[in-house]
Amino acid sequence: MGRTKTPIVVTGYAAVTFAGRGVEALGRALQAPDRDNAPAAGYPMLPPGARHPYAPVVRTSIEGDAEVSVASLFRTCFHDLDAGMAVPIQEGDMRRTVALVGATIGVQPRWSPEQPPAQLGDAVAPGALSEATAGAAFVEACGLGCPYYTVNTACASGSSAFVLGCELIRIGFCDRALVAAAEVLTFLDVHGFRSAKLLARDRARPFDRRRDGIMLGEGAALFVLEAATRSPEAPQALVAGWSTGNERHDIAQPEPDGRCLADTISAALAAADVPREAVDYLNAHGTGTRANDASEARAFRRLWPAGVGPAVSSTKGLHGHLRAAGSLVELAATLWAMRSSKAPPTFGCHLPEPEWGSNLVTGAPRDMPIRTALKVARGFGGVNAAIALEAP
Amino acid sequence: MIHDRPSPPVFVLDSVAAATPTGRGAPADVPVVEPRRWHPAKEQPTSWTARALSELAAQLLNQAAGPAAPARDALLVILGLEHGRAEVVDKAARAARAMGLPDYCDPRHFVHSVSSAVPGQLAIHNGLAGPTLALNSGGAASLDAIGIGGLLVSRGVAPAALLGGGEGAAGRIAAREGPGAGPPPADGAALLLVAPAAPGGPQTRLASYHRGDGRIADVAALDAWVRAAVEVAELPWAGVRLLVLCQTNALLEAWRRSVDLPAVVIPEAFGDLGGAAAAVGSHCAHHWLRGRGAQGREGAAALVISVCEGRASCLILQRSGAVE
Repeated sequence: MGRTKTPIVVTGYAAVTFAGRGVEALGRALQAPDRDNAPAAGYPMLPPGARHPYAPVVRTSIEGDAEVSVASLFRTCFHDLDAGMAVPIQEGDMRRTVALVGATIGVQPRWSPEQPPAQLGDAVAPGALSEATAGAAFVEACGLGCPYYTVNTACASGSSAFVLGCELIRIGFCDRALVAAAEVLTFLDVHGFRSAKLLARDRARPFDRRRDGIMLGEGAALFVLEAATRSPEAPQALVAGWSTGNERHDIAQPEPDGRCLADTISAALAAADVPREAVDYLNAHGTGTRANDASEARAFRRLWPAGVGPAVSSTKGLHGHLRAAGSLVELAATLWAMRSSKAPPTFGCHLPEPEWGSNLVTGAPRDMPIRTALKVARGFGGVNAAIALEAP
Repeated sequence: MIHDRPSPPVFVLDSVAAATPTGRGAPADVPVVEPRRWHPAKEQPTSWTARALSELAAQLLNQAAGPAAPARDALLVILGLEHGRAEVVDKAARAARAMGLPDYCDPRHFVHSVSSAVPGQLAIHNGLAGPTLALNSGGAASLDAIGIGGLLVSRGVAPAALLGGGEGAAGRIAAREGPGAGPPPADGAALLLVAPAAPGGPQTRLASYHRGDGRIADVAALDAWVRAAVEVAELPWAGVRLLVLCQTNALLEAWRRSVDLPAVVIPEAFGDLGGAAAAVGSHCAHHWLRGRGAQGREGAAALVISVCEGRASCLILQRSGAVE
């Protein structure tokens, strides 16, 4: 979609995940060694051959909140973010601020494994299926008086909202974009992914030979994007370039040979004016499904021959697949990696597919300077997106 | 609130719409397609919205075929969708109930239940590889899609764009949790092909786009907001010849009476089209402005306005060029 000559910077970000409030909590979890037989967070490991009654899921709780909701996740993220800003968000120019909320679904009742199975028709609030309810929840929960838009590109929604925020700043539509996404487990997610046989048996194993599906999770992330020249805040990272496209292949299946995804990554790097050999770390979409990981690995191989290229990992095996919020939480993980000079491992991957394995970080974080990083995301509807970040 | 003008200018090259005029207030010479033709068969997992928009895009791109046609590899697609997914989720729920399976969701329905499946289906159907996005801001969804998309094309983010939205009646009926007030839900969809340059003859320019922040509570505030929008578009108020109102609510109705201009009220003219009202309304405005009558004067403008829960959006379309 875009290229930037006007520097756009991340001036603040926050996340809530299973690991707790804040990016630091996520960072501590990302540093933990990943043992092959470790259970998915918060879920008991099953004996061989057994199945969870539904699926492994990663649930999130917020201290002091009896029940996690999309609104409480947004509120918590905003509070944590605002506390870390030199100038509180509300004291900035709200007239030139736009909120962009990534959402795959509106504000729906939360699913939990303790509840009895419910018919989809009884468990879904049809009037709140509109994603606009998530956008409204964000501005209301955070008390923001600014225009908002809800962006849906399914599991790439967070990245698409981030990219749209960059574009709207670049073209001068706004000076600041608050980019957010939050997801709790919903009946539609659990019934849908389970019925589609897309859920892992015990845990998500991205890029592993034994991978058999995704692991749903809950969480949220929030980013503040601003034009570098206008911001009083110290930049956390430079958004060097971005690109999105459509694979025009299938609503749910990725293009098998990864050609379109490779084109999108190339376009983002060209926009950033970054040669592909300069990318230090790539945070992959890496869902743990047979189709996505194979296609994604082929896309990477098109750009970087075997044995060269960036360190690659997927963190979904740790925090779960957060649908709309996934790519934003993973962007937060990527920024943590840049700041701490540690590439997180691919949680759940201990037997990498041999032809893909050379650049995968597995088992433990890899200490390395990370100056340039890429985040890749994909979603139902054929959308893919790539965002290139540089250290300030 | 935010006001912006596409500069360099962008034009509506062409537009297509599917909607059923009720005979109450729709301009007589606006071409619309019979929506019934795109109702999916029962066994199909997709929605009316997805089918209609895919077919409308094909029609629009075929009409634009030729050396000057926009390249399909880079065409930007932004669709404003409000309740489209509710139709598919409702289908899935009915199927699960009929099968007696308590926690089942047919995977074919599931993958089509997400709003991004609509632009996805459009892209697959028409071989489009550019960015595709579903935008949802409630009742203003398609207005915001056209406004944002027009600005992105104007500033060179994409060479051209398909902008608009759709809303099947079934989705709106499924989303209603009780008997709704006002006009009954109806099928409606429209797409505009927007690009920086237009061939000769009368054109419709996207003059400006405006988005409020949710604080419009009375007629005076709405009037001030709309007049500020017209000023940003560098138009004299006297140049405003047509209002297209996307909702029927007390605030909009009171304001409409206060300004005393010809108006197309989309819910009266076509039924309740939800988030697609502005797409169909922009299609109406485009054809009205291009017409040969008094409305087709150089510089004449139409305002497409949505106000939902104090959140206002406005798109200003302007006649550019003389009658051929």
